[in-house]
Amino acid sequence: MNRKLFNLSQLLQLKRYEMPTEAFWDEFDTRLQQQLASVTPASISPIHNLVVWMRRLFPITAICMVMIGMLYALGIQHPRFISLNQPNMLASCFYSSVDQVPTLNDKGIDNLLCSQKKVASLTAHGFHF
Amino acid sequence: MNADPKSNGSNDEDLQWLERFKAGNTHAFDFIVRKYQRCLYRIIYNMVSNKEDAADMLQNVFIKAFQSIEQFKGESNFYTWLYRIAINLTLNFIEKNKKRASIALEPIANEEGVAEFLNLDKNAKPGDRALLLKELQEKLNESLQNLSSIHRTVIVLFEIEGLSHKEIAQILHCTEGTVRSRLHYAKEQLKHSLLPYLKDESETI
Repeated sequence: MNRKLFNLSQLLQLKRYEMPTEAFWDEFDTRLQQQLASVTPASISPIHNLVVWMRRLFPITAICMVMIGMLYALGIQHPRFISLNQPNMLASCFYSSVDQVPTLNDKGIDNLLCSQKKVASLTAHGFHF
Repeated sequence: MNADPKSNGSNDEDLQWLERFKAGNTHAFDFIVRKYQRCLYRIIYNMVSNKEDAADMLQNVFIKAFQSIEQFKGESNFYTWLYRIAINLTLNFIEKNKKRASIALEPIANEEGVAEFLNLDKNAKPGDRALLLKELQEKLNESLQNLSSIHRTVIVLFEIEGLSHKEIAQILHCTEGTVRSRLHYAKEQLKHSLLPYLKDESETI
């Protein structure tokens, strides 16, 4: 037996015909009326209105940027975001790393100065680099 | 009474009823219920495939709309707002009840009309026709349930409810491109699972 074939949209339209009876709707309406009688429309609080108004006025990203700006202005910063225009904080960061890895501490600076003196002395005696 | 969200007058009419409702006429909400209950039921039912769950969900949708009607500011069409409530509640329900999903289908109303619409053999015995329709209904339902909930939503809104890409994008808060892409994927999935029942469309070019 040859099977009857359909196209997809035609077949999906079949779902439109799956509907309850009128008796169901009568019962549904009665039940819903009873439910709605015990429910009141929620009034919107002024705070909710303010939040909605603010969100419309400023997108969330802008609000976050303003907050970060305010924190920066107040000097409250995360140590990771130390800026270069605050040398005292930068210096403290440098020294703490020097304590852990003593590469360019006072001794290192002395060695560097010593090397410079040696270069100057050799240049004075006719060596050219 | 069926809603036709595409007509411009429909939204104006909704807004008039909403104004009356906000002015204290609680019976104005009955108009909205009667206008949208059938199409909302169809959306929910085709997403959950269970008539009892669909009826409970529909009730929750109207209660939610009733409670939060003040939040509707008229920036979108009223039906978009209402459909969004229905879709969100249904998607939440599906997510929460993944493991206990059960199927309870509605009978096909107006079998004669369906047989004519599907161009079924007029000389077939009514019993055979009913069997074929039952088989199609079950297979179609199974295929829809195999889609992810978001793909099912797009198929239901576009193919069954007849909404446009733009309307669906507004309801789902996404771009029209996303809607098209989800629709394409969902149709491919359905074609794959309904293959024995479908015409080979490449032959009809």
